[in-house]
Amino acid sequence: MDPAAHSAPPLAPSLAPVELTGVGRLFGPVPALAAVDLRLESAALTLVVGPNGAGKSTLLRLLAGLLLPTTGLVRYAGRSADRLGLALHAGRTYLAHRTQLYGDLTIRENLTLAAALRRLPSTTLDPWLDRFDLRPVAARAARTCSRGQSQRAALARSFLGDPSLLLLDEPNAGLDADGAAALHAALVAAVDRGAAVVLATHEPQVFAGLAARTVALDAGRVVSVHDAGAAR
Amino acid sequence: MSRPGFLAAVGLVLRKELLLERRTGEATVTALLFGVLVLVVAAFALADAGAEPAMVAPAAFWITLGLAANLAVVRGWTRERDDDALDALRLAPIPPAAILAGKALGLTVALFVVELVLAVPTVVFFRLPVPETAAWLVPAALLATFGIAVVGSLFGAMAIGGSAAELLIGVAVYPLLVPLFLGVVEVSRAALQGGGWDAVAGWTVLLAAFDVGVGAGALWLFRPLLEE
Repeated sequence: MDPAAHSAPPLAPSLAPVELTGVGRLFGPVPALAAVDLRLESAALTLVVGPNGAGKSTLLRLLAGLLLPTTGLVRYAGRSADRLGLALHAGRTYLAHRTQLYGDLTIRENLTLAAALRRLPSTTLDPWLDRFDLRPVAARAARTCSRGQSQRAALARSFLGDPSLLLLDEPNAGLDADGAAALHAALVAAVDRGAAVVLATHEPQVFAGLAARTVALDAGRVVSVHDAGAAR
Repeated sequence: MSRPGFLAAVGLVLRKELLLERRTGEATVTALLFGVLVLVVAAFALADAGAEPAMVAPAAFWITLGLAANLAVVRGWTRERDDDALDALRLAPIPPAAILAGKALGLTVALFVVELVLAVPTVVFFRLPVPETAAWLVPAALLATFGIAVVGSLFGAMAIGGSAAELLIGVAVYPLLVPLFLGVVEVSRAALQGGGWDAVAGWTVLLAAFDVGVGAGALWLFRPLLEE
C-alpha cells in the first residue's frame, strides 16, 4: 500500500507559511540564534545547513515548540503559537537527534501510542510500517533494535497523520540505502501533498534534488539563502 | 488529524505508564526492596523499645513509603529522559497537564501496590494487631498515595534533566508533604487502635483537601515547568 495515496488529502491544519521575524535564542549569555528572519513555504522542502553549533537544531526545536524564542516572533499561517494552541501540535511533527522512543515498548506500541495521542486510527500505522520496512521488528522492544531500525521507527512516527509542518533533524542518520530511499519517497509525497518540510543536515547533497530552498546558518545567524527554483 | 480530550489523553499516558511498569517493574521493585529493608531494620530496632506497635508501626511504614516513593519517582522520570521520550509527549496535541495527571496516576497505582505488599512485613515484624477498623486506612492511604504521587511527579519533572535528581526531589518534596504524612500517620494510628470514622474523619478530610489543592496547583504549574 502506498502511504502517500492512503494519506492524501492532508488532514492536519495548514501551518504554512511559517514566518520567523527577528527570532533569537539565548542559552544563558550565549546566543544560539540571533535575529533570524525566515519564511518557510508550504509544499516545499527547506534545507538548513551549517557547521556544528551553527544553530540548526535550536532552530528546529524552536519551530517544534520545545524551546521558546528569547526575542522575535514565530507565526504559523499568520497566527501565533499561543493563538493556535494544541492545533499547532496536531499539525506539526519533529524528529530530533534522539529517537524519542520508549525503549521498553515495542516499535508497534511506540507508534500506536503516537497515533492514539493524535487520535489517528491504528490502521494508519500499517502503511508506514511497510514503507519503512518495520514489520520484522514491530514486536521488538525499541531498545533491542539497531540505530537504523529505531531511526526508521522515529521517521514513521514523524510522517504519521500527514502533518502540514515536518521538522526533521538529520533524518538520514543511521539509515541504510533502503531506509534512505524510503525517506526520500516519503519526503516527495509530503511535499506533493502540500507540507512544509524543514530538514537540518550535514549532507545537503543527499537532499539537494528535493530542496526548494537552502538556508545556511553560522554562529546562530542566517548567512545565505539559496532558492533552487522549481528544480527537484 | 485531531486531538484527544483531556481525560482520553490522561488515559493514554496512564496506560503507557502501567504497561512500562508491568513490563519492567522498575519503580515497584526498587521501592519494594528498599521498603522491606527499612521496615525490617526499623522493626528490629524498635522491638525492645516498649512502644505500642499501633503507635510506632504507622510512622515507620509511612516514612519508608515516602523514601521509597522518591526512588519510584526517579525511575519513572528516568524513562522519560532516556532517548528524550518526554519530548514525544510534549509534541503531541494534548494538554501538558494530561501528561502530569497520567504519570501521577500511574505512580499512584505503583505505590499503592508497594503499600499493599509492604503491609504484610509491617504487620508481621511489628506484631501489629489488625482490627476491623483498619479498613478506614484504605481511603486515607489512597488519598495520601495520590498526594505523594502528584507532588513527586511535579518535582520529578523539574529534576529530570539534573544530575542530582534524587537530592532535588527529596529536598523539594518532603517539606511539602509534611501535612500529608502527619495526616496519614494519625489516621493509621487511630484506625489500628480501633477508632471509627469519627476518629479518622478530620485527618481524612485534610488529606482530601491537600490532594485537591496540591493537585490543582501542580496541573497549573506543569506547563510553565516544561517550557525551556
